[in-house]
Amino acid sequence: MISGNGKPFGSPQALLERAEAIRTERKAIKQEIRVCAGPGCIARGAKDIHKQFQSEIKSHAKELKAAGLELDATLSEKCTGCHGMCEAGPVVTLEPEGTFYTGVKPRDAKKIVEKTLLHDQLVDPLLYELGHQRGGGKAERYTDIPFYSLQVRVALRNVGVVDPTNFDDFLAEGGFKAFAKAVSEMTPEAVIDQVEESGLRGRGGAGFSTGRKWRGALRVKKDRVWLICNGDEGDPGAFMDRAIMEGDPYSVLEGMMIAAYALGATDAYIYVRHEYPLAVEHLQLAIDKLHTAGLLGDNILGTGMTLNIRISRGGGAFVCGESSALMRSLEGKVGEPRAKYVRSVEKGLHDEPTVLNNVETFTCVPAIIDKGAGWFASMGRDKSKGTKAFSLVGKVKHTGLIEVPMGRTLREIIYDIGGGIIDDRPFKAVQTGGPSGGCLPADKLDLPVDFDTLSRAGAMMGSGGMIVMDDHTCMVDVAKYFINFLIGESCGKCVPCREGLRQVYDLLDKITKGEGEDGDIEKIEKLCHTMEVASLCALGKSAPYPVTSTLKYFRDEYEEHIQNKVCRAGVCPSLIMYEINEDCTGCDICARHCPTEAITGIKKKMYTIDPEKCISCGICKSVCKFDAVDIKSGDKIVSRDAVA
Amino acid sequence: MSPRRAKKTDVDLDNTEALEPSAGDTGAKAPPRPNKSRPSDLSDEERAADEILAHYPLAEPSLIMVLQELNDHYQWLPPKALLRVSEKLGVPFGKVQGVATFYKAFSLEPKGKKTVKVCLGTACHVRGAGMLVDELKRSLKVEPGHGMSEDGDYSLETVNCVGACAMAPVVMVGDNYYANMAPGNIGKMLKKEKPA
Ligand SMILES: Cc1cc2nc3c(=O)[nH]c(=O)nc-3n(C[C@H](O)[C@H](O)[C@H](O)COP(=O)(O)O)c2cc1C
Ligand code: SF4
Ligand code: FES
Ligand code: FES
Repeated sequence: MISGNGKPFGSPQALLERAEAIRTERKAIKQEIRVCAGPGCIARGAKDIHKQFQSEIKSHAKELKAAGLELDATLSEKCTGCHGMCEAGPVVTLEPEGTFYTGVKPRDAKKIVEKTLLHDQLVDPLLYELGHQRGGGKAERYTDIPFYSLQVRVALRNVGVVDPTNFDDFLAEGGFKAFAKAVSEMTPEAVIDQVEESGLRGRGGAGFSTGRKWRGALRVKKDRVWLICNGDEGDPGAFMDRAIMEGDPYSVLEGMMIAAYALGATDAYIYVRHEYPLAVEHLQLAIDKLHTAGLLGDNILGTGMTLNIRISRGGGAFVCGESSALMRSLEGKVGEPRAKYVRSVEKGLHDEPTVLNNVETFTCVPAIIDKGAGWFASMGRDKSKGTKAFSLVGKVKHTGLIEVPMGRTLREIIYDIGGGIIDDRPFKAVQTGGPSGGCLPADKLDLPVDFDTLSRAGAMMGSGGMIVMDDHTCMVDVAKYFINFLIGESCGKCVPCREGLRQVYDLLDKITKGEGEDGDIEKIEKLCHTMEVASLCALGKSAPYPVTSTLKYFRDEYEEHIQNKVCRAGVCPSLIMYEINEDCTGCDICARHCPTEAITGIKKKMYTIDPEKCISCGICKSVCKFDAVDIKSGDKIVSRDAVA
Repeated sequence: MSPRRAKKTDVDLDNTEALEPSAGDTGAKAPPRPNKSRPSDLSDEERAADEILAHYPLAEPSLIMVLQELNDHYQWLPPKALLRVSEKLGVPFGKVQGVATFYKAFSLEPKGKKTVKVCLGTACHVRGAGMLVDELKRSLKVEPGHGMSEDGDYSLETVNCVGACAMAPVVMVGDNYYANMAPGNIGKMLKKEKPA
């Protein structure tokens, strides 16, 4: 079903009428089942749940019909993008009630159909347990859960709501209303004004004003301007952009279309990280659909506008998330960044003027055009307006995807939304900004999360990865992790980055191996300084932040590694020892699994580990059912859960 | 430009000649190669390359996308196919190799029957993914990104966040996700996944 009669829409009006017609049609839907098919839930078998629902609905067709529920008429069942609370996955929600089912298995489809659909009863074991939140008990709706009630979803507005492969779904949710408004009621100038007034800053990392960037490009525009959407999402601990591209591809495209209208761009690319095949699939489906619907190609909506959007799969290099490297990659070349004085709005792709924005940035644009700059600017604080999506992960209870107005504190995000630390362990640090960001300690928990505050504190907003760490996370190890990641990703073009990373890594490695010496920290600091000032691109310039921020806030941990040869988190293999405690029942399981036969003992009596043979692989601890294996560092037991 | 799914073929493990070019020598010169090709003279690799090349403009900007399809097809980039791509796109072989080495999406070595992917995203790292890599390296006797286990069953790779941080640390084999992995479960997983 395209424009109702299969023809492309001839005018913005025709599109809006069709959207209205779909909404009217859909008023008949009494019940909708939304199966989360976001990356987390797919990994837990969401596809089978969807299949099972389809088959249960078929086999219960008669009873359902008697209850007034008929598939595709009054009953709808669909897969959506990530619902957000991946921790509780696989997730299924029922609309219009907002029932929230967690940990759903394929066999639960039957129960949900028979109990909830046919008899209006909730399936109790699938409801979310509130625990210590809001006085406990079970949440009947997701709006009763603080995780949801404290969020404001702008960029994620349709993720978890629409079926990303269904154009009608998107129209019904108000999709393309903003684009229709832009092309029929607004001049390109007016669009840029709105974007600028909204205070929208780039969500890809640097936080540059989107309106200003667009205006800059318009000023230098020659015959053509290229438009690029950056979906490379290089932060190794983040999946917001993925969730948006997979779960709401049309909104990304609509944002790009509005930008293209404002800039007079006729050719656009969306550069998608190579590990995201589903994002590519959904975006391609959407692009194809938009061509048949007359929303892409020539004479869009009868307005004479031309736009083609092509997908380019990334090559899997972090540096290609950097805008100038990305452009080289689009040209088929090795993705090396250019020096910053070459401005890409003037000389970007193929040396022509180019505007590049992040996925989330583009996704915010339709909402701004639709609801107005003032609405967007009313959220947030200071120079950071609107909302920001984060992937809230690590040692936090509610791992998932969230979006909050800028200015919420880290504590609100981690404790009120995130539910606190797993097993109620002590919070140690939160890492934001990916490999260019930093770690903040507990006394910074009350900082508001916005671009400038985070930068001042030595972290960074970045693209939105937020990794929570507890007392079992070693901060030296975290610094080493990011440096190691960057060694693999530095393009090698300039010496301070290439060699600096190597040398910093060697020093950190030495420290984590217990071979650190006086003066190592100072050497690291010097190297970091050189990289910061002398590297060519932002990768090298910001590469030291994970190190400098941990040195700033967790210097004592570095010193402890160097002076006392102790890793208090129990992470660094050379500084820890495995030891069996009195809870050992002599079950022999550890001895059987130990790859070096380091464990001996008599069955039913306490076993022992030979430290000479032990390689600290951690297998014994992870197979022990009695918590009888401890980790020691120095003479203290620092036991660390093998799995969080 | 919809991504065309090439049919999957098993890696030709007997083709030792294919192992020659190392990932390191980016500057390697293309051995001179007479362009004698009538279609019937073409090797499998060349034909596969031609089939993919037919969907793209024969110019440099197509390079990465063509290599991606080739890599999807073979799970690695056989040198014969790379030479063909170099010829057809008019991009010097050294440059093709340079691009193939630079991007992680490409492998210059054949892979085992299955690839074990350990997520080393930040969330997985802080939940102990490093120990999983160590254990896999030890039990498969392979390095991440290089070679395969002696029996040819497994290759090892590390990847960044696969979007399943709630299940961290995560290991993937094919389409199967292993959640909350611990070093002690690796052995069981490998036994279960062992290719027939
Ligand atoms: C090393 C490096 C990696 C980057 N990776 C990404 C990325 O994965 N996604 C992204 O949107 N921006 C990334 N950026 C930022 C981009 O260069 C660019 O500033 C941004 O995409 C612009 O879009 P915005 O203004 O909408 O944020 C990266 C920057 C650097 C220096
Ligand atoms: S700073 Fe690093 S990534 Fe950037 S150009 Fe220099 S070597 Fe390449
Ligand atoms: S993937 Fe289902 S809730 Fe995130
Ligand atoms: S970091 Fe491993 S799944 Fe996200």
